[in-house]
Amino acid sequence: METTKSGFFANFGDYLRKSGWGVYAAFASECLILSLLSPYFLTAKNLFNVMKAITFTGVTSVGMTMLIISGGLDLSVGSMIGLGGMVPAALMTRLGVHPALAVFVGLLIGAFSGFTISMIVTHLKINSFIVTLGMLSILRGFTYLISKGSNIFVRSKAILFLGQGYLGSVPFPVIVMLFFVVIGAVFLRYTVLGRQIYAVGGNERAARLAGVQVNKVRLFVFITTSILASFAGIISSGFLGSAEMTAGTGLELDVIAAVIIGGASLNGGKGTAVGSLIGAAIMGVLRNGFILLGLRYEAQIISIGVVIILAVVMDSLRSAKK
Amino acid sequence: MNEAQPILSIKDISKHFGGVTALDGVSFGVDEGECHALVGENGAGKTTLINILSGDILPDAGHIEIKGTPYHRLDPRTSISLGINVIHQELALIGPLSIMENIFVGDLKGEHKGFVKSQKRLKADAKGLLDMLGCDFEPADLVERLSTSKKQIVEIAKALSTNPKILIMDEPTSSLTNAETEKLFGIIKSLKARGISIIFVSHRLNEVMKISDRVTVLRDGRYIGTVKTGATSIDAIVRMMVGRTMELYQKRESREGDKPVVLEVEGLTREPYFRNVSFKARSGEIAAFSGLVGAGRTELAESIFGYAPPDQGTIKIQGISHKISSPKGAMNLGIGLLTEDRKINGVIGTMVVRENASIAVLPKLARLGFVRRGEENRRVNEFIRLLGIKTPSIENPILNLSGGNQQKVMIARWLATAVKVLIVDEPTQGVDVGAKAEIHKLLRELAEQGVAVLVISSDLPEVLSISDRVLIMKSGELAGELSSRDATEERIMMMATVGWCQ
Repeated sequence: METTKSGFFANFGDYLRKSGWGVYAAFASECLILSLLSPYFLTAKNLFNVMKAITFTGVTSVGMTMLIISGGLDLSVGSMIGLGGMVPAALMTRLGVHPALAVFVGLLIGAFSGFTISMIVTHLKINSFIVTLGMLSILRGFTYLISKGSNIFVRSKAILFLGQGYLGSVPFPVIVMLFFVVIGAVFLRYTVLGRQIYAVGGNERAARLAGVQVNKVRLFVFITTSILASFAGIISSGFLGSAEMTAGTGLELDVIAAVIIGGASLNGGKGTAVGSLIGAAIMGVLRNGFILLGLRYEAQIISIGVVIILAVVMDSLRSAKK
Repeated sequence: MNEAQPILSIKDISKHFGGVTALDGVSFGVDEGECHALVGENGAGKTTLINILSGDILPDAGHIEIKGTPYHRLDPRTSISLGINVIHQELALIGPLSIMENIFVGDLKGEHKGFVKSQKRLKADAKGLLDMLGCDFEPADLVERLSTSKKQIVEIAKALSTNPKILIMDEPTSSLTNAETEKLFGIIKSLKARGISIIFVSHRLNEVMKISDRVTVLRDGRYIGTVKTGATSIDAIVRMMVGRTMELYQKRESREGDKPVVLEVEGLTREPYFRNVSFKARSGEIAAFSGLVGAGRTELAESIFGYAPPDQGTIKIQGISHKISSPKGAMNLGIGLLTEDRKINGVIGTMVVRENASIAVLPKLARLGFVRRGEENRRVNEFIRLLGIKTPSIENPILNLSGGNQQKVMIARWLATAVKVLIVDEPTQGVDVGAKAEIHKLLRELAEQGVAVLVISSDLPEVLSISDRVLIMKSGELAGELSSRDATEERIMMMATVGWCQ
């Protein structure tokens, strides 16, 4: 029997299969509840604030989604955000390097970190959890080192626009985030390499025996994740107006949570870029809700944790049903 | 024995998975102390029925009766306490633990509260059970060190420790040698003598004829019939299984004559798996590789395919020597490998039928890195039609398909790559009779189109029926070669075990 799937709605059905309708339902109900509880929720200003807040998580999660789909993990992205913002700032402020070159170097460092991690994971066959756990400290250490103990101001107009600018009434970082999510989504769904990422995560041995160059796929996802984290760090430095030593601390957990809530499995083979964005949005809206309703900060942290566990439980229940 | 109440009655059991009917009102009885074979094509419902009996899944309708007492809802613990034990095809033992710990893993409570049985007691009890089975294993040995057939005996001992009334064995002989199978049959006979009933699920009909008292046939989830083994024949059973007479094994008319050599292997060595292997494979020819488990055939295939490059030797494709260092490299040269054990090596469980079928040719289906979905859909649908793959749609998750159909998707994967040399490793393992014949036909057609087909198979009738030549490996070396004319099961077996024959 033939089915030719085409058109937007058929493709959306594919999305639901890959990341589960639960994510979208959860997000929709969350927004509905909050809009009933607070008159400020659905205002443009508030919504843009929420989106701005999740930008760093959102951008980084595009790479992390690909990585987790392929069966890997990167705990060092939070530190990479810090280093990615710090290095260009230091180059520009202390050595007068041109912003474009400084940003390029920042991204290059991201690429190098991803390359190193991939080499160790692939050729020394060490679990990516452990390797990136080590990188977490190494990168943060370098960030402190370069900062020389104080935050570095960012004066480049371009970078400040990246973090604080507006296109019409839409904050520019939000546009950047959406840009990367769309590219990531299209890439994962429509390209050969994207499909191969799913294959490697689904069954690495079978993928290799089917001619997929697993090592190259691994290299690609690790490097992409680190470069995106580095870029998120640059956006962050523009957003705050300075490169902070502590930027990104703890963010790796948010990013991983977003990807898992969004429907990915830690075993690999499942997940979508859009799902991860919704995952980040679910947490962002939750935090926003706590602030709008004036609830305690401690309760906010606890509930984020509860959401993560709930998301994973629901996901495993859904796949166990088959 | 037939007048007495059956020990186990299956009454009207039905089970559906989504839109698929796995079992439809199945009813039959198993007598005390009999060996009752359960046969049927893949997808006939045998595995589902076993899972219901073991309490792993619940039926949608129907129930079972143990000596007349009905039970509607089973769970694994209840099932065992009722005396139903399943020995699965994939043995469920814990490698790093010892034999005795595995045997008593469900019942480790000792005399003192909170403490486990003493080592001494575990050992003594385990020895008692193993002696009953006529085996002298050392109970303290670790299970992971044992061969498959020994592990199977440990599983039986484990089942015995729960005082079973019914022992269900799922494809117990698929990884056993002939000698080990005989030993298993001896054990089955002694279990019968103690009043234990065996439900023997197997594709190997000649074994079924040997060991069972009665045979029940399922087809497409429905009960077809139960016959006394002594009063029937393999042909009759096959007819019940597929609903039509099949000529399973016609000898292949050998195509002699000089066709171009596509693959030439010389002095290929990869220690410790195989050494000094040399042979030629011609276009349009099916060459079978026979040999005992462990003879090095799969390892040889993996080396030719670049998955595990050889230490020494040359591989020539159409006369030109190549260094093949990766599967992609092999594929670029037109070599394909349909692996053994598709669950581990072939099927990507998180993907659908379409994605599994197209994974090997994705680069060819793409333009500027983007997959052309229309082309992909078209090609995959073509193969679905061509190979008769049973699936409601190509977007169906591949794990929803039966074993035989999953294997066909694997074949489609390789056919799509337009190979010149296709190595297939145990192509019909775990595949039902109907699909087996279809796969054989496919391989013949492939050869007809000029592909050099190398078939690794432990199924001797299969080897004899489809090959032009048989190459026999023994302990890592090529022991010899027999043309289709000269090959017989006995000769192949001789070469595989002792290295020569008349």
